[in-house]
Amino acid sequence: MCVCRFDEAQPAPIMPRVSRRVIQQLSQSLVNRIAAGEVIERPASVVKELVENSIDAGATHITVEIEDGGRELIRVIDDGCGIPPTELRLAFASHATSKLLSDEDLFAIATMGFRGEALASIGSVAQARILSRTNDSDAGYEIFNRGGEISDPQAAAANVGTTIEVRHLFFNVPARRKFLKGSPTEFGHISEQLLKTTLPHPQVAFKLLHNGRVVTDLPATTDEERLLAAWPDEFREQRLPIEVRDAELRLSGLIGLPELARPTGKYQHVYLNGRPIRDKFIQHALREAYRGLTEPGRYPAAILLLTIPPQDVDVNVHPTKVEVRFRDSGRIHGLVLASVRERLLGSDLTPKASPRASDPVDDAQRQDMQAKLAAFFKSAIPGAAQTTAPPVPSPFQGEGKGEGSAWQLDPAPPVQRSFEVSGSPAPVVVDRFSDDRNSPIHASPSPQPSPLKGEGVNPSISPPKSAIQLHNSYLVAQSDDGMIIIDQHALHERIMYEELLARVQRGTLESQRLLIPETVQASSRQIAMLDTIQPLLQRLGIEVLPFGPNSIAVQSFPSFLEKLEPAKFVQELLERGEQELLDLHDEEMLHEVLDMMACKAAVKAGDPLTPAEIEALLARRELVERSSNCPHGRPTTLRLSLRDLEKQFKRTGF
Amino acid sequence: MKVICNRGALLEALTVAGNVVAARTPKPVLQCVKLTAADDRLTIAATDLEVAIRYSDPQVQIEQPGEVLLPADKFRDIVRESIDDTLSIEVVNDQAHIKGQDSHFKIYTQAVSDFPPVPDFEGEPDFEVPGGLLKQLIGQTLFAAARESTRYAFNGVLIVAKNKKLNLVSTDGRRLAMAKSDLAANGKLGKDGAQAIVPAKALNLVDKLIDDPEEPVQFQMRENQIIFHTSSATLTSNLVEGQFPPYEDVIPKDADKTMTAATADFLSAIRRAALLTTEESKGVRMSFTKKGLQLTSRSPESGEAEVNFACKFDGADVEIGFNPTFLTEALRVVDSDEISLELTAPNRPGLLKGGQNFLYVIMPVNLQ
Repeated sequence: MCVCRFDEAQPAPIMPRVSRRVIQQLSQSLVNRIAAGEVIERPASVVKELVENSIDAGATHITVEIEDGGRELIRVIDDGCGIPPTELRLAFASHATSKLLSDEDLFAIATMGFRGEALASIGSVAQARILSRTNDSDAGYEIFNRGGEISDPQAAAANVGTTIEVRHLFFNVPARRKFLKGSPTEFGHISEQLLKTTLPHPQVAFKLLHNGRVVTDLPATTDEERLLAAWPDEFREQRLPIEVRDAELRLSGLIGLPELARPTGKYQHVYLNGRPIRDKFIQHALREAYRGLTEPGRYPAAILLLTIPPQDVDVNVHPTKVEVRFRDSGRIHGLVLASVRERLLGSDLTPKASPRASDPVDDAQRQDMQAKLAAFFKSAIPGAAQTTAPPVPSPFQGEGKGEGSAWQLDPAPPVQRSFEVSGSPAPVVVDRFSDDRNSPIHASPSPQPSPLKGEGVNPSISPPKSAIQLHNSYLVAQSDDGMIIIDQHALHERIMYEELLARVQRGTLESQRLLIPETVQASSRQIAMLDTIQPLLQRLGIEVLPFGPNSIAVQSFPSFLEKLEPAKFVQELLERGEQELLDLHDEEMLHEVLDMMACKAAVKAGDPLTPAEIEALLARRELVERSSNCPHGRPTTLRLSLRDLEKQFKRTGF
Repeated sequence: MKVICNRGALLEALTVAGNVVAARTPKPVLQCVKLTAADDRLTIAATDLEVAIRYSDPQVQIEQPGEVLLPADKFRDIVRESIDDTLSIEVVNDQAHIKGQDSHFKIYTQAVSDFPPVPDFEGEPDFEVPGGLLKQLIGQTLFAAARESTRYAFNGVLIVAKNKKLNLVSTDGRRLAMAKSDLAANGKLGKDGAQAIVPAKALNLVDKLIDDPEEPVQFQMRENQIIFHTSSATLTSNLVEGQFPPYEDVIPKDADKTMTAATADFLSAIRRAALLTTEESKGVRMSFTKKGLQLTSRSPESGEAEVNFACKFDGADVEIGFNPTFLTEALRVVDSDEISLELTAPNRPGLLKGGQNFLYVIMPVNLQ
């Protein structure tokens, strides 16, 4: 048995001694410090706990003051209900809370916190002070906790609400203190954490100060305005508001156009009943909803606020509550998948060809904005981008030029691009959020196409008959409102995919038997997986048999994939299957395999096409669903409108 | 070095050598040819480190022996575009001067010492084969080799010389071709004979080197190289590493159904039946009965084809699918007027035989 230790002052021997040690009850302060290890990881965790307490206390203004990245001081001031002096001592006791009254309450948690651990934990690893005054009291009271030594409450001058100061975090846990990063990095975490915590609480105004300077000022505002604080500024228009509710569940938020998907989940935020969570069911539902619209391994941008009855979820499974357990996870999965998918299918997803960066007006405006904001950002989060912390969603790390601009400093409305709004044919382009919260889906200026048909096919483009091939890779054709540029590989891939899908639904694919079966090294787990996917493989014309303890043999392979190597293909398939256990379900697996097949069988960039082939490709484009993106999710088609051209050639007013 | 060359002969030599010169390489020296003037001939050498060739051109007049390294492309273009019957090549310091009647090209040469050694044919051949026969063996097998398989052995042709037999075998994992011939003498080969997997590129070049079907091609087989020698050229190739599959095991021996037909007619019937196949449904359905063979193909997009082919068939009725391309490719290289196709079951390989010396194993297609 080895006892966890926090204090390096008494080094334990690395090798366990032979002589037996006595089992004894740990002291309360040690228990608290161990608990603190789970809850309090760094200054940002303190901020999270305290701000959540303030929100639970019904505060409408919360100010967070930080000194030296939180190593020196963390002060959270709220105007909430306050703590009466009689309860002050209990506030620092562990397992003491005002948020649960009975056993039943634990199974219907409506507050952010509930365990009564946070303050006790913080108090055990720092020097904390609570100054609080309740509404009905004339005076405030303060109480100190120095690493577990709690003073008696004393009268002190205070406004209504609670102020908690945490100084010298980890002063008695040198090992932890040593692991803290530099002040900018820690502040970056705080700032990120605070943004995450504030997003679902637009009714609360937040202010963040570092070393006495206001870094962030978020006034109380509407849902959508607050969410935009975490939305990448340069992609304001590539967003679709979403709002679905039934008797019990409510899903709202923003989802990004497929082109906004990023290799990390930094633009993906999921909130459950106001609390940021990480949930693989919801992530999966999102990924599924964007299947075929984004490249694999990319995370679609989305901020989802999910409200469900508290008794339908168990938040008591993770110390910092980022993971939860749903009573009915299938229902949540279904809700997210269906709502997001429907929203996407009802929208035109063809990205615009004109790059924003080359628009002179935009550039000037952005540079202006950037100049104004740069100073703030530099002081606020210079180290944030270099942290080696795990890839938590970071709304502060913008893309390229817009670095940091996701954090909205100024309550003023965002830069308005009215000319684009009125001129762009994309029905999803909205200027700003409509305040009409009952129908945010209809915020777009043009009517929604029915989700059942016309997905991805831009109604404003009539089928072009011919196109020019550029560099044996791209096709350029005239459209009603300008021109379209087609990636021949991506489009052909999508067409092949849809045709294969239709084909497989009719019957098995034709397959060529192999004279000399190809053997593939396979792990025992992969071989076990074969049983599950065998029926699917057979439909696709792939016959695979176990061949010895750690290899398998491919016996036949679809004849239209004759240019591929069966062994390599099957190996890739098994590796993918092994990594994404969830996708072993028949239908999803089928999609993945067809993706792979279509990609490999389609014409490649660099293949010259005859006019007849081009014509056939364009004609088939109209017949195929979701032709706007290849099955991997990359766009097949870009659009350049006459308006864009006129703008670029300076034929219009600007 | 100073030589006067017959332009036509030099161009031919450069064209042959140009097939070996590396197209893209990080080593520029591999894009050169080496000229050696000695012993009344000009030897042109080129290599891409896999295959190396020495081609000798006797139609030269050597005024001063020597050697030089020239960029293959530029040199060949100069020789091709020149209008003279003869060209003179003279190397002074690090420049080569190529002169015609009204032209003078100066090319900067590269250091000869940088060029990798290109082996010559030395000693006795292991065995030799008439050029015409070798051409036929190559033609009957090379097409069935894989192009870019990661099973490297499939990218070459297996040459087996043993017991006064020379056999070439190739496969891409779906079909297998085997061409057999007799050796006049076992030559220097031991009792166990010799075998090697030769890259397709090398055999292609050997095929091009053979002009005269009567002229023998000499072989030397080393541990990791094979050397072909004709009167004008020596071609050395590295061997393909890897294990050639046990080809004798996959040749069916239990076939109980046999079709015999005229080669040209069978080829025509397959080609017609294949007209309505598509990328995704390539297979042609073949239904063998006592009455003959019915070939059908069907594609959901285009339509259906049916060919009723009169032929002799012994055995129980069977229906089997084949990729028509695999069959037509083989039927084109058969050198006999009649072929036989032996079958066992719809999921078992078929065996095509053309004369005594050509075998072709083909796996069927599972039709929908």
